[in-house]
Amino acid sequence: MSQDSTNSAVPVPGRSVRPTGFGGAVRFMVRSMLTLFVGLKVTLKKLMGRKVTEQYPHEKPVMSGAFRSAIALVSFDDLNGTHDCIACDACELICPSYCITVRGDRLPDSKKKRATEFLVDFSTCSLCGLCLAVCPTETLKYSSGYDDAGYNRGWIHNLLEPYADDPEAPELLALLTARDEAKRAARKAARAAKEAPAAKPAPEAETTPANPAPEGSDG
Amino acid sequence: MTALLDTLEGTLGGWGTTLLVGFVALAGLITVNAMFMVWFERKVAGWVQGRLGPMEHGPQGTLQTLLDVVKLLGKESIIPAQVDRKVFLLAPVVAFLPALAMLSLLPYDNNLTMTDVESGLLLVFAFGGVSLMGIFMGAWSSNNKFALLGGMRAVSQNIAYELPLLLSAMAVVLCAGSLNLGEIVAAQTGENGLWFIVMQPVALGIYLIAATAETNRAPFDIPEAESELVAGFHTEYTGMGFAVFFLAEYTYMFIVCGIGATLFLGGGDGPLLPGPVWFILKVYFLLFLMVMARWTYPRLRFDQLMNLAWKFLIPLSLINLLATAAVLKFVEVGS
Repeated sequence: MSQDSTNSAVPVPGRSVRPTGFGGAVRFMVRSMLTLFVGLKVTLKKLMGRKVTEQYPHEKPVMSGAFRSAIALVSFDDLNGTHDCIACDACELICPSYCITVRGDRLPDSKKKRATEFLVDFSTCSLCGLCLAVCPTETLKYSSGYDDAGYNRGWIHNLLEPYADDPEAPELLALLTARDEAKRAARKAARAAKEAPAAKPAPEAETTPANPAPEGSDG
Repeated sequence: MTALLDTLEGTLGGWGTTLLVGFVALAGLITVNAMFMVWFERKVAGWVQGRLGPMEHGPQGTLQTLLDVVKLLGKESIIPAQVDRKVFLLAPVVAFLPALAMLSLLPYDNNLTMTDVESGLLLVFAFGGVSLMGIFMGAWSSNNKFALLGGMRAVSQNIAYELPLLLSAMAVVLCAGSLNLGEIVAAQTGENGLWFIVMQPVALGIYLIAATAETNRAPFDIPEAESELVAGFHTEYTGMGFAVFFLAEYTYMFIVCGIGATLFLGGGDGPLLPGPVWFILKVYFLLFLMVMARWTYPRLRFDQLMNLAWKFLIPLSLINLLATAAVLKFVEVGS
């Protein structure tokens, strides 16, 4: 009842909002017929308007940065594009669904450890992000793939697959050592910069970068 | 081309040549029209809803219908055990064949018609009634409650809407003074010819509404009513039987729009382009309106449908007819 009074301006066929009398009936009819053109105007506008369809296999959507898919290894620029997994097993140990398997080995003639196997069973992963949080070298990230498909229960992501053509062990060792040297030097510089202004406070000391060579990531 | 026609005329005679050439041309028209309309309808449906419609096969998906037809041809034709076999098989043919006769009557240009009959308009509407019989035969012989309900609805709807259709056409006939479709076109062309859309706008509106209802299209698709009756009268039809019903539906759309273009839009009349091209353009403009109506308006309930015909369209078309007759008489007396 209350709806009828609020909608009285809009003629709804079948509802008792028709004005009475012959003149009222004619006016109602004319108004009803005019509404047909209102509808046509809406659909015509849509007909000419922008189409929202994404032609999926031909054009793929760009996912937002917050999108979470199976984890992947970050490739570092200062490591010549390879990852920095030291096979510490922290992710494997913290994973609540036991879906990560990491095996590693020391590089020859070195104490540095390096992953030789990094497997993720994405079908049990809950995307909680604990492995990302715990990773000491920040070499884990969420990938942005959304059209992965497994065809059986043994569907396993091999995170080392993109790094199959990594540099050989001696070269890699050189890279890692160089990176560590650079890092240490940077830390030293930062400490020196911090101690120097303690004697005489200088405003430019604050502007010197505290950490010129961060671990670097291509996120 | 002319040599071929001469040879044909030598062996078959003038009448035989017309029959042969006309039949081949109309068969082509029916096929191309159905394929184009199905594609066009899906495109418009997509566009209205902010989608793209078919896009995969051919440019803008133009080959989609062709592939659908190939798929349909490969389907098994299932004949349910309890149907009335003879009637069941005959029904699609009865529904489709009048379309050919109706198409042969349309004036595609001033003098381009396959059969030039004095009472062409009347004949077209008469054949329309025959096609309804095909629909009801299919519905009845299917031995299916949904089909039967759909068939009964189709009959009552067609009876209701044939009246305003005829009455609105009669107003034009009064103006033109002839039932011959060619002469109706001729009355709109020439020196001081005026398309009847100017003289009879109300009749055009009534005609379009009634024609949409006659062809059982949304918003008057009560006989098919997917949401209530599965598929209405063709529920039990598969494969080719279904395809023929489908073909008939799209051919009737072309026919009612062809008659509409003839009665109200001057047939093949127009500048620059040749007559048949103008005719086809006008027909497809009306078909576009029909398609837009389908994707714009909500469906009518069955009682609303009947009310619209009996309480509104028929009185209105009667008033229109009377007014036309009165004005024509006054003009005649005045001059």
